[in-house]
Amino acid sequence: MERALIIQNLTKSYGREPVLKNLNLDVPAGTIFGLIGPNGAGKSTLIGILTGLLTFEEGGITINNLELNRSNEVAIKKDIASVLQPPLLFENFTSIEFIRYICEMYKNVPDHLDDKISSLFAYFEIEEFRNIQTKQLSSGSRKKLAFCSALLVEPKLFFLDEPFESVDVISIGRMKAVLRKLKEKGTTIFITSHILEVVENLCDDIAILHKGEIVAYLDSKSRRELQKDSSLSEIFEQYIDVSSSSVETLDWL
Amino acid sequence: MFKLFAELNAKLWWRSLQGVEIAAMIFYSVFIMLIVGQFLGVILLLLFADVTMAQQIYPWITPDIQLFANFVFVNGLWLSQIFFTKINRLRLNENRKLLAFGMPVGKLTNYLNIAGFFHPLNLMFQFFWLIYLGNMAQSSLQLIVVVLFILANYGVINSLKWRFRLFSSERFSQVGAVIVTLVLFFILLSMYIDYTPYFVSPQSAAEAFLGWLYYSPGYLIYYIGAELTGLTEQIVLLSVFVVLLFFINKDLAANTKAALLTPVQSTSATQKKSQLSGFIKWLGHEGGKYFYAVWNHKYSKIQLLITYVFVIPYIIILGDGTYVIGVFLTLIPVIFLMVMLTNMFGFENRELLLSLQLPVETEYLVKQRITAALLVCLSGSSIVLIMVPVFIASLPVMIQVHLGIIFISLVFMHYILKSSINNYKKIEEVSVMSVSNPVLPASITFTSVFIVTILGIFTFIIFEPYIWYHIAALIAANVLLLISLLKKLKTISEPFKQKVIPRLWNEL
Repeated sequence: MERALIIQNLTKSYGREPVLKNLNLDVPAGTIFGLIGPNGAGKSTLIGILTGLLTFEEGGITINNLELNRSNEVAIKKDIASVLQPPLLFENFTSIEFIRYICEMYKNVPDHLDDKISSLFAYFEIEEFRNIQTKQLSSGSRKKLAFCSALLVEPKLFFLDEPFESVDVISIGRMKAVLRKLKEKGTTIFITSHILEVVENLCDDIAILHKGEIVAYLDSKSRRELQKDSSLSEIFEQYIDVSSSSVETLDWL
Repeated sequence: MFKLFAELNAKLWWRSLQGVEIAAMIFYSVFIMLIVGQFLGVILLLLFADVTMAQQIYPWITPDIQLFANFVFVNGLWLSQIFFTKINRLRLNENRKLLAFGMPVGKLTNYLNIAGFFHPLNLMFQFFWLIYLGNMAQSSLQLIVVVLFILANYGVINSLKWRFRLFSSERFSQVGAVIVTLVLFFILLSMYIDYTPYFVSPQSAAEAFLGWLYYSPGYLIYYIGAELTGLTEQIVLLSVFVVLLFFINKDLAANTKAALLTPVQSTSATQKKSQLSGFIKWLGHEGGKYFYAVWNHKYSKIQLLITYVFVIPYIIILGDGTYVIGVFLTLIPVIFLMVMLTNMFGFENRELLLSLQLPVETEYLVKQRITAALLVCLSGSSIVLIMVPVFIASLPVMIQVHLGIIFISLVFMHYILKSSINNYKKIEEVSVMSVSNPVLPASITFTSVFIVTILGIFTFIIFEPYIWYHIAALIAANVLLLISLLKKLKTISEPFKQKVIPRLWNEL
C-alpha cells in the first residue's frame, strides 16, 4: 500500500528534554489517520516538524515520496496544508483577503475562485465575516476560515491539530463530511487529538503517542477486533499509565 | 491582594529586562537626571534670585525678563508634561489575569491607576510642580490648592491624552492632515518673522510677548503659585479642584476598567478599503504583507507623527547650524527604520508561523521582509535628502551632510538587524489603552536619539580645510558598512531559524 508519510527513528528535544524518542510511523495514502495521546505527549511538536516549522535532531521523514530536507522543502509544502491549534491567520487581513492570499502563495488560484469561496462560506456559515478582519472573528469562525483556506489549495496531505476544538456541533458534522469527501478523492488526512470521540468514528488507522513514543498502532482491522470487547477509551487506558489517577487520592476534596 | 499585585508586576518587569534594554534604561536615567538638574537650576535662578542679586551674575536680567522667563518655563514644562506623561497602566494583559484569581476589578483598577501616577516620568513632573509652585505658596491653604492642582493637572492630561491617542489611531489621516497644516503654517510664519532681535535682546522679547503670555495656560499655573493670595479665591479654587478631582478620578477609573475588561479593541466591523493589494504589488507578497502589518499597528503611525512634529520646529528654530540640521534630519529616517525594522519578526509573531508553512523558502521570506522594510525607509530617507539643499547652500557641505545621513542610517540598519534577532519580543494589542508598542519603549527611542547625536559629531561638524578628506572617509565608511550589510543579509535567515522560530512556536 502506498504511504503518504513515513517517519523513521525521529528524535526531537527541547534543550535536554526529549520530546519525541526514536519515533517510527507509517501513514497509508488516501486514509484518515488519527494520532491520539494525552496532553504533553508530543503531538503538536510532531505536527510542527511535519509542517516544516521545527527542526529535528535525528531520523528521517518522507512526505508524498519526497524526503523532508532543505532542497525538497518547497516541493513538499506545495502538497500539504494544515490547520493548527490555535489556527494561524493573518490578523490584519479580511477573511476574503486571507483566502486569496493563501491561494496566490500556493500558486493555486482555482477557476471560479469566488464561487468556490462563496459556497464554502455559505456551507460553514461564515458569509457575514467575508469583509471582516480575521482578528475580530470568534475562535470557532477562525478555525472554520483556516479550514476553508486549506481546502482551496487542494492538498495531497492535510494536517489537522485538534480540528474540532471551539467549533460548534453542526459545523463539526459538516467538517467531518468534508473530510470524508476528501478521503474519497484520495487526500490523506492526518488528525491529532486528545479527545477520543473525535477520532473514533472518523479515522481509519489510529496510533497512540505517549511520552514521545508510539505505544500502539491500530489499523482498521485490529481496531474492529479490539473494539468488539472494549471501547477505544478502554484500549487507550491500557497503553497509558493511569494507575495513580484515582480520585481517591484527593481525599481532602 | 496588594502583595500579589506588586509581586506580579515586579517579576514581570525584572524578567522583561534584556541587555539592550538595561543599557537603554541607564542612558534614559542619565537623561532624566540631566533634565532634573537643568530644570532645578532654572527654577533656583527664577525663584530664589531676586532681580538685583541675579543682575550681579546676569546684568541683562530685569523684572520683565524674569516674569517672561517664568511664563516661558511654566508653559514649556506644561507642554512637556502633556507630551511625556505616561498613560499606560503597567502590563494590562498580565494584570488582567489577577481578576480570574479573585481580585476585585475596582481594587485592581485603583492599583493600576496609582502605579501609573508613580511612573518615574510622571513623578518627575509632579516633583517639579511641587518644588516650583510650593516654594511660591505663602500659606498652608495655598499649598493644599497647589497639591490639588498638581493631581488634577495630571488627571486631566492623562484623560485627554488617552482620548487623543484613541482618536488619532482611529482617524490618523484627519489628525495627520491637521498637524501637517499647522506645521506648514508655522514654517511660513517663521519665514516672514525675523526672530533674531528677540534672541539678541531678551528685553525686547519680554516686551513683545509678555502681554500675550498672560492668556497662556502657563499664566494660570503661575497664578496659583504666585498670585493666589486671597482667602476667598483660595477657597473657591480649592472647591473647584476637589470637584474636578472627583470627576477625573471617576473618569480614569472608568478608562482603566474599560481597558481591563476589553482585551481587544473592536472597532468598525467591516473593512471599507484595504491598501493590502497595493502594498503587495509594490513590495511582493511577503514584503507587502509585512509592511501592511507594521503600517496598521497604531504605534507606528503615532511614532512617525510625533517624530515629524518634534523635528521640524527644531529645524526652524535652530536652523542655521549644520550639525543641528544634520542630526535632526537624520532622526527622521532613523525613526522610520526603527519603526519598520525593529523586531521585524515580532510584528506578526503567530502569523509568521503560517507564512513558514507556505510553499516558499524561508530565506526568500526573510529577505523579502527586510528588503521591503529597507525600500520603505529608503523612500522616507529620499525625502530627507531632498530637504538638505533647502537648508545648506554650499556644495561640499551638502555632500558631507548627505553622506553623514547615509552613514548613520547604515549604522542603524546594522544595529536593528542584530536587534531584531537577539531582542525578539512578542507584540500584542492588549487593550483599548495599551496602544504603545512594547518593543520600542521611550528608553530605546531616547538611546537612539542619543546615538544619532553622538554620531552627528563625527559626521556633521565642518572642518573647512579638511572637508574633502572628511567626505572621502565617509564614503569609505559607507561602502564598508554597505558591503557588511549585504553580507549579513545573505545569512540572516540562519539565526532567524535558530533563535526566532523556536520562540514563536513556544508562544503559539
